[in-house]
Amino acid sequence: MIRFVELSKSFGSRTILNKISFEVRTGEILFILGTSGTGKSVLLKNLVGLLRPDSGQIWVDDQEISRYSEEQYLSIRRQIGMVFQQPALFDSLTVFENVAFGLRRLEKLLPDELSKRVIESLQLVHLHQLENRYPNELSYGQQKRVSIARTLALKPKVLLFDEPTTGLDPVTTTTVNELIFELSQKLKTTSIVVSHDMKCAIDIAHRIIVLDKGHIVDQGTPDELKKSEQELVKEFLREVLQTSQSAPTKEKLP
Amino acid sequence: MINQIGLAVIFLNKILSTLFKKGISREDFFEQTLKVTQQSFLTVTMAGFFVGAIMTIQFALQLKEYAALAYLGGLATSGTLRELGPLLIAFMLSGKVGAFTAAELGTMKVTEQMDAIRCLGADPFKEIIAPRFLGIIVASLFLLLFGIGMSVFGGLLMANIFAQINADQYVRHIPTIVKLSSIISGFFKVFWFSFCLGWIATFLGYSTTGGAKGVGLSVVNTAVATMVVIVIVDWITTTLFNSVLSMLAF
Amino acid sequence: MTTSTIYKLEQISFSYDSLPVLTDINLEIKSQERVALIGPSGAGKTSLLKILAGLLAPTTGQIYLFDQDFTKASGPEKLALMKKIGLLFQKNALFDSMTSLNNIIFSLTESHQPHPEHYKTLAQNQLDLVGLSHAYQLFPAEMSGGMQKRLGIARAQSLKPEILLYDDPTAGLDPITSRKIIDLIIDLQSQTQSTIVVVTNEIQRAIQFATRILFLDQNQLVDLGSPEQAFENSDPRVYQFIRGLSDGPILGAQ
Repeated sequence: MIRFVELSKSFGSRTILNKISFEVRTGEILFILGTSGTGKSVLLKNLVGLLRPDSGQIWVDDQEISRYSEEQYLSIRRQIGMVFQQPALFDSLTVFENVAFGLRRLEKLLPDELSKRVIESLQLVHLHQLENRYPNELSYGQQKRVSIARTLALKPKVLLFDEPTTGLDPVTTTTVNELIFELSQKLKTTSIVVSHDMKCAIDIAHRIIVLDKGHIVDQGTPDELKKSEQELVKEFLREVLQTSQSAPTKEKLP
Repeated sequence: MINQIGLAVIFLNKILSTLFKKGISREDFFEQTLKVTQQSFLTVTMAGFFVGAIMTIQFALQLKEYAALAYLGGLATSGTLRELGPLLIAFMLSGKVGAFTAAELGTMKVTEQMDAIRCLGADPFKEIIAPRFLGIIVASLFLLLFGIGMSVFGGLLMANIFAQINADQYVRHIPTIVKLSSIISGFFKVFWFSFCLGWIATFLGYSTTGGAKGVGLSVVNTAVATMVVIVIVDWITTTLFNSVLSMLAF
Repeated sequence: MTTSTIYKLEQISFSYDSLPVLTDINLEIKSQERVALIGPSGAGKTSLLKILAGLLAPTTGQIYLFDQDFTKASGPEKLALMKKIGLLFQKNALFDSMTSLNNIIFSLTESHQPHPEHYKTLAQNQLDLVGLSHAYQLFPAEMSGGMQKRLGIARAQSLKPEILLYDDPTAGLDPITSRKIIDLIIDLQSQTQSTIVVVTNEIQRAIQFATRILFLDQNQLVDLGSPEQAFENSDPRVYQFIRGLSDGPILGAQ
């Protein structure tokens, strides 16, 4: 459904992505793993047209979209919703208006339909009765949820998560990770998660792609990657195994 | 530098085509105009008052020697309207509104709010940038009116105290000296000053990168760039206006 | 190897805007300990670190540093004590306009270290120690997050403090870079025999690093002992937090 073909992107003399090709299967949770500064976020931003590739193609269904105009991208952005690394909420708007923001612009809804959609989205992220608060009255974890609800409100078929658990404490990390899993099950969406947390990936991913220095160095299911001989993958795994050795391993999600 | 100017021109082109082709919502525009006016009303009126007062005292000293105190009100008002008023208002706004706008847009940029806006099907130029740009221009024109009003009032008080000229005498010769051209010149200048101010502040704010530090840098750059540009534009508009006037006189 | 008491905190409480942040904290830190301070976001970890650094004054209670009353100390007395403490902020607080070498030379100059003629050699030695030998003329903006962190560590170390306080030294770094940074901190500690307190959000880092783990939760400080002992702790909040479980008394992002 989504396919990247030989995608390249540089900033100045720094090559961030070097002829990356892979495809995303409908309904899967795909983790893109890599060290900091390897262009994982750049990949997502290329998909929704916030950045444009230097060369290569991006296919969504049967259309090559990388040369779309800003207007043409509107239809893509309705199907593919992005959750940013920072909550990126609009400070001057209430939680309700934040979630309604995209709906007001992209869908013509009657007031009660609109509020129904907003409440539904907030319920999906387990936030209730916070509609009238402002972002600065919420905890960081709650803000993160509101930003997910804002993306969900448009009922996208594909969800992109840019480092959703970076900087969160361990308990919040797990709840956000489980939420991603739950949403993909409940809404049957395709999810692409950019992260450097191998533990999160092993817990919920169907497939993992490992990026390094602009190239894909390995890919496969969590079980396949656990047997990988690739150096970087082994280093990532060491982080997970070390914790699991001292801790009883956490059961996999249902 | 040249690269930066090129980007700024493309940016301005986007603002203008948004304003003229797509249009902006009336609420957004009113909201921004009101915000800028509120933010600077007090400073501009106070500055207007004291500029009028200072100009009057200065002119009074000179005019006394020529026994021409009757023209005090006219000269002080004309000077304020043609030169000092617009320049002062522009400087006040660049310190306050320019810095505020750059900081606001810069913060939205580095916290990914601008990206979020685009992903939610909205156009940041239509909803955020163009309304601020136009709001700054329209509010500046209002503020010039208030500022000039206050400067007449300040001048009038000073004339009363230091030159024993009453309000009636002070105001009587304002129309003799303040011609239509002075009024046009004042508003013409304020228009271009605020045009540059709005342009620079939104451009530098929107181009912010690099976290909280980047926002700080954009704010400082906006303050410096607007002041320099305003002085240059003042020189250009003054020269242009005077040559047009002298051509018309023939 | 003698183990003397470095810090002694007695009944420390701290409120912010009349909201209690820390209540009745008692703590003793011995020399050459490596202490990790963990706990849910917003539990006051950074406040406690700033109190240890002398940047925040506790509302009530006493702190003894090297047997001297740190809370009551003022003027030159306090300055002398604070000189023994090195603090590394989350954002490193590097000077953008200076090369990495000059960043270190500047802090040597500012703190009036003896023998100015040796500053340059000293600074270069510090860079060698953290593996930045070749980056001496780079500016912070030209360095990756991991390199910036190394430079921050080198600068803090250059003043030869007896105590080093780190506020989330691996925040935002990928796990592989994080591991290397913590390895570096441990390595330098064993060379300089200093005492270290690290605030961290990452359990893996706490396990890797600490000789003792402190858990700050609900305004209270719980001493969990060694990493092994921490995993044997059966308190439900500790159990949940250390394993990063979503089910339990701690509500993640709710």
